[in-house]
Amino acid sequence: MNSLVKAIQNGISLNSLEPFQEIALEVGMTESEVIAGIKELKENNTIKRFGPVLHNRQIGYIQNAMTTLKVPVEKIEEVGQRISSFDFVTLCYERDAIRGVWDFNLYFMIHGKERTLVEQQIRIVLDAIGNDVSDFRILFSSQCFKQKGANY
Amino acid sequence: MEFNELLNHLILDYQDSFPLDSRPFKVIADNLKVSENEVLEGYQYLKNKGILSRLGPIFTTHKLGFSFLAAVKCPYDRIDSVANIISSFKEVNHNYLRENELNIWFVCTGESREGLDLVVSQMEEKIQLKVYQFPMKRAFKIDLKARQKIQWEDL
Repeated sequence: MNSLVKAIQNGISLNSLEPFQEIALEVGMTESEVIAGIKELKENNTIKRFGPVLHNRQIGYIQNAMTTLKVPVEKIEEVGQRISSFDFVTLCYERDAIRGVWDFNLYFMIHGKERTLVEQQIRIVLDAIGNDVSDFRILFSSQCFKQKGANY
Repeated sequence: MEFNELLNHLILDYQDSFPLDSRPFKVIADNLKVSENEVLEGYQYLKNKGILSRLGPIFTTHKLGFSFLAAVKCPYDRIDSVANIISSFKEVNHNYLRENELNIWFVCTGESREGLDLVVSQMEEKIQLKVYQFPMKRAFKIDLKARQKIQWEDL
């Protein structure tokens, strides 16, 4: 794994006015190589974005609902796009189902401050896609045990 | 500029465009017409408050390695101990209790499929529960940006 990826994954220093210089010293590159390297990782989409990453729960987004849907395979593309068009939907993924255990193949997440509002938003989405969904489950999170960036 | 207003700018204005510059806090300071130290202190304040996780990257995980969502059906009297064991693996970056029979849901991320297979088998042995894996097949939307100003008085 790229040493630059490892050096930046937990974020840049907040104790220096030249944080990229600190990364440079850590990985044995020049500061301009570090900056160019991060730009390249952004350009090839290895880094989706670079900037402030927040702890959602600390700013009041304590309601996190994962809704899982059973959708016919030929409808997934269309339904996934329709779900994603709602501004309040933060994530939407197709995942493998496990037959007999968890028969759901499309997931979407909504993060919010109030449970009743998130429930209303889920209802709006389900109303929009209802005809293509044969079953669903709504799983609110009741406790967060761990939340951090990926560790490579 | 009021401190809380500065904090909102620091959070909302630079999510996609944090300056990749030798003096990033100075670039922001010049934009916002405050001092470089005020910018740095603003980010330090957000970090100390537990609001800012990091100033850094969100990776496209499938570009760097492998990741999957997973879940276990944990008996209620073992939830805390099982959740703690799961969280103790460095490959686990998110771990939540959810309202279902499949009740502990977590994300595993690593460099290789083989490495994560090993993690899962070690985990299953420790918790004595089957780990169900739900790898991603397609992403339709990944939008993890803050959208609204923070209501500081509510915190």
